Amino acid sequence: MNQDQTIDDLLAKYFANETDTHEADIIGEWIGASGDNKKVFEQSKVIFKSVPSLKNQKAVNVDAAWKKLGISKNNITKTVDIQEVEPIVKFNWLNNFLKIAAVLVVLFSLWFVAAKQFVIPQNDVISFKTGNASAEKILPDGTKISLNKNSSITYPATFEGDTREIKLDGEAFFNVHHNVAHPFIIHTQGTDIQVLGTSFNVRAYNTQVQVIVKTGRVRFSKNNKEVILEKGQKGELLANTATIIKSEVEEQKEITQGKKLSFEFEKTSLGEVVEKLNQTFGKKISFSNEKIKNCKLTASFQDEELENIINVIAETFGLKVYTQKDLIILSGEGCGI
Amino acid sequence: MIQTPDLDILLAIRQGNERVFETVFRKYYQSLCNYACGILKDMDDAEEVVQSIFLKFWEQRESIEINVSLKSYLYRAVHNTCLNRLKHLKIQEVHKLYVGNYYEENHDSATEMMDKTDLESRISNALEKLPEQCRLIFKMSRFEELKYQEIADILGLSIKTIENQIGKALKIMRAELADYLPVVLFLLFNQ
Repeated sequence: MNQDQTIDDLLAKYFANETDTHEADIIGEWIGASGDNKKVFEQSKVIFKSVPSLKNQKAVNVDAAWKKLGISKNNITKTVDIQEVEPIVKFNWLNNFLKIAAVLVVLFSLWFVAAKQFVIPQNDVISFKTGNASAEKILPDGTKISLNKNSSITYPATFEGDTREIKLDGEAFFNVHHNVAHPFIIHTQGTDIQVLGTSFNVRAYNTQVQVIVKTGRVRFSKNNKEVILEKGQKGELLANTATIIKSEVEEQKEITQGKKLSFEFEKTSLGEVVEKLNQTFGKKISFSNEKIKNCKLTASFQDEELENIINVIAETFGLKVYTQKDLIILSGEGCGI
Repeated sequence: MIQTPDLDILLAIRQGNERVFETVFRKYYQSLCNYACGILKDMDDAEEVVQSIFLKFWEQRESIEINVSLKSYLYRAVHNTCLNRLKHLKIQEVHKLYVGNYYEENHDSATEMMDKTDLESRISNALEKLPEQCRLIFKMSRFEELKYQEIADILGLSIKTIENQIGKALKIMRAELADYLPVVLFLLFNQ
């Protein structure tokens, strides 16, 4: 965030569709930071969505206005045409035909040009794919997705219509933004997973699909068969069948287990490293000294706890760690550029 | 800032292509009138202003220089003409001012308010609490659906200012509606 940019500026930009991905990430993070923030977000949304309906639109007569301008001379030509004698009528018919054809060509090319320029591309489809590292993604509706390695999601740039539908290949943990009016549906390996704002994990490699619900309710279906999964339940589609097996998850732990995290850093500045960690773990790691941001880290972490990652960083650069609730401060001398 | 499709359209207009001009006219006429009406509070005046701008545009098509998008250019012309007209009105008799006020009051007349839902009338009131510049920019964004860049071009302000003003509008309106919004949220999510 820029210094003179308030969260209100950012929220406004978000609802006006003016945010870039970096700003959208900041907002996503900010919403997740506290219940109060989420409330402010919802309130702002109500304001932004309601205001346009106040628009006092009085329809004007565009045809009349255009005629009044008196630029188009077509009307005059027409009356002259009628007064012409017979033999010329044929010629005029052709003339008019050509005129109409020319107009159509112009209108068509204008439409073609204008369609690109003026119409906001609403059906743009975005694909997001992970390689060797997992990644977080926030969808246009505020839904948070932690995508595991070698997985991909496909979603529209804006959600139109009654449902929010996306495609998944691989594994992801979903924290679906609550919206009763617009059910969220995930299509994966021929199955549909429908939710109304909840969090759960989906693992869909090859034709085997597994859904584990952390909170809320999920409808998991293939063809005509469906099961309703609730908190702490697991649904499993047997490979190449339409049979879904429902079972209880032994431990709550297994649910987040799907969220495997791996980080690869190569000469990455601590500033960037910490931004990534903050995003992933939802903590606020900061520095006592700006110079620490310059330190370059080369390391890889596989399914490590945040605490261990922080300890490795502290060890590497001789830093001290102070922890207070969600706030983690790294202090020390730092590095030169 | 100017984009190629705009250039094509401008070129065609400059060469006297009525059809292209008519298409542009039809595309923007209604929204420009709405915008002008928001400033002048009178639709007849608004139409007059917008028509005069298109007429001037056509008459001077060969010499006109546009360095923003065509849309921004048209809005800016409407904006400036409306402000000039208002200034002119203010110099005129007090009587006219009275008429101006009359329109403003008439604008939110009781019958109109009855058509609005409770939420809408509350938001409408909150909207009126915004400082003038802030309200104008907010309305340009929400009513006319103009992009930040377009608003900046029309008003000759920086995009940063637009960002700040709309953020400020949101903040003020949220504060104005603070007591009411939790109730609305409750209703929306328990339908």
